[in-house]
Amino acid sequence: MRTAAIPPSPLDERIQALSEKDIATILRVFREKLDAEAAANLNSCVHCGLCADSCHYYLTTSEPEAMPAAKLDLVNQVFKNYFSLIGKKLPQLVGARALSRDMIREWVDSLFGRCTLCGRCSISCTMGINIFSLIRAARSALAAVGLVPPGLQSTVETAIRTGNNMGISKENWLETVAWLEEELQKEVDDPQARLPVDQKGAKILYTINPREAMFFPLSISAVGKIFYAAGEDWTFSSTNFDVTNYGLYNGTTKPRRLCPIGFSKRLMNSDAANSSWPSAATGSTPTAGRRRNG
Amino acid sequence: MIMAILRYGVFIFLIVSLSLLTYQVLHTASFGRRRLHSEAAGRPREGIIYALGRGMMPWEKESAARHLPTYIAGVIYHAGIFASIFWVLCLAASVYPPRAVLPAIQFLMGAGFLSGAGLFLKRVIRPGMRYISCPDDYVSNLLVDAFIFSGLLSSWLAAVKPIFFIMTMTTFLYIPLGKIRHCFFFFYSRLLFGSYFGRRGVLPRQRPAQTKG
Repeated sequence: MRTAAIPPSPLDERIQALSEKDIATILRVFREKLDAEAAANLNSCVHCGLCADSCHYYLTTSEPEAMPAAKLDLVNQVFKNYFSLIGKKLPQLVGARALSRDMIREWVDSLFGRCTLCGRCSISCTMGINIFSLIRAARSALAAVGLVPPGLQSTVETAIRTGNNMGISKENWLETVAWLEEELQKEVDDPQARLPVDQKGAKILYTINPREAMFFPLSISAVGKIFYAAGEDWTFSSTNFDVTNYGLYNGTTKPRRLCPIGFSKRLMNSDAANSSWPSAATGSTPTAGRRRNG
Repeated sequence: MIMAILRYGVFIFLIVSLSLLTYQVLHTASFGRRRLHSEAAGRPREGIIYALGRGMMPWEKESAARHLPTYIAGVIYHAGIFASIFWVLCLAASVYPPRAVLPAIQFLMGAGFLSGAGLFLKRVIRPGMRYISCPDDYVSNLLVDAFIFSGLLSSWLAAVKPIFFIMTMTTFLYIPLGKIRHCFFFFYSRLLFGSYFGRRGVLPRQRPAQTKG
């Protein structure tokens, strides 16, 4: 029986189309991102595997590929092959591998697809290896030839272009807040209950992951309810409501810096004395951070 | 005559091994230093003290706390290795420890060998461990196990001493080639780990505040 051949994915086509110069670029950028600390870390892994339980990808899937040690090893295999004397002389013994197209595919799949750079494995590592930093170095190398997953790359570009990662317009954001304010007033049975926006002199500026406004608006009204119950002096901003930094994840330095710099500039222009900063790009754990003036 | 050569060989190979390890650690400096952009939120020194002290306790790391048998086996394995190194240096220098100490050394070597063999079995049996292993992982473990075991036998049988010396030299020679070089890099990495996360205010790890209920 004949079966239809599976067409190659756009990523496969992109990888197959890489020139030798592109592969040399990946290696060059990878080397540029390595420092003494990274080199020491890459010499330290003993493949104990105790990091596995620190990874939510591994806990969810139980795939050995999702073990932090396995992801780090992909980086380490290339490091040994090109930047370690023993790896060059005895590649089979120490598991050194060249940066072939197959290896690049594995890098993209695992280093982008099986890691959120949360860093929990680094804290748990018995050796103290800064695993997420090394994975990010490899991501930078992939980004240098445009191998960032399109979904991630477009999110970064949207954040830079519009000021928030979902591309929510100011009008839509204000409409959402107004709707949620009405819901809050009904829920607490108080027409004075507010979800304030651009409140001059407010003590706290509350920021969100824009996905909340788009997909999980009830988490915003829940926060409003807490502030209402606490009697806090707080506010949303009509423009600088996105605290996420997806630039951290695509591996390129410029967007990583642009996102927080843009946020900081907007924050400086707000009148709130403090800001709440959801953690990393997920925005899942709000914490209070003091505004820095200047 | 042969025993004298082997005795000197132990020290020569030890010096060669330590020299290569020192070179490897120093060589990492050729990769340069990274400029950190974020403001310091803590003290690197406090992070380093934590990383090389309390931070190595099993209750401080979920990886160790969740895998206590492996953690304990690792500690005993390393105690056995250090006991074997101590024993071989005593034999090579013809400076014998007090008779009362020998049973303790033998116990550490025996327990260390069993722990090492257990960790080897774990690596062979578990699919996840096999997946992350390369030949060096097996060679390193077997070599060190053989080193400890020959040390243990030599404490009873004088005829095994030449084998123990040869195993020692082989192990010393292999250390800089494979993953056993973590004997140096472990401390270096822990120091860097403490400095990095100490600066970021992540370490020393704070215990959650207790609420009165």
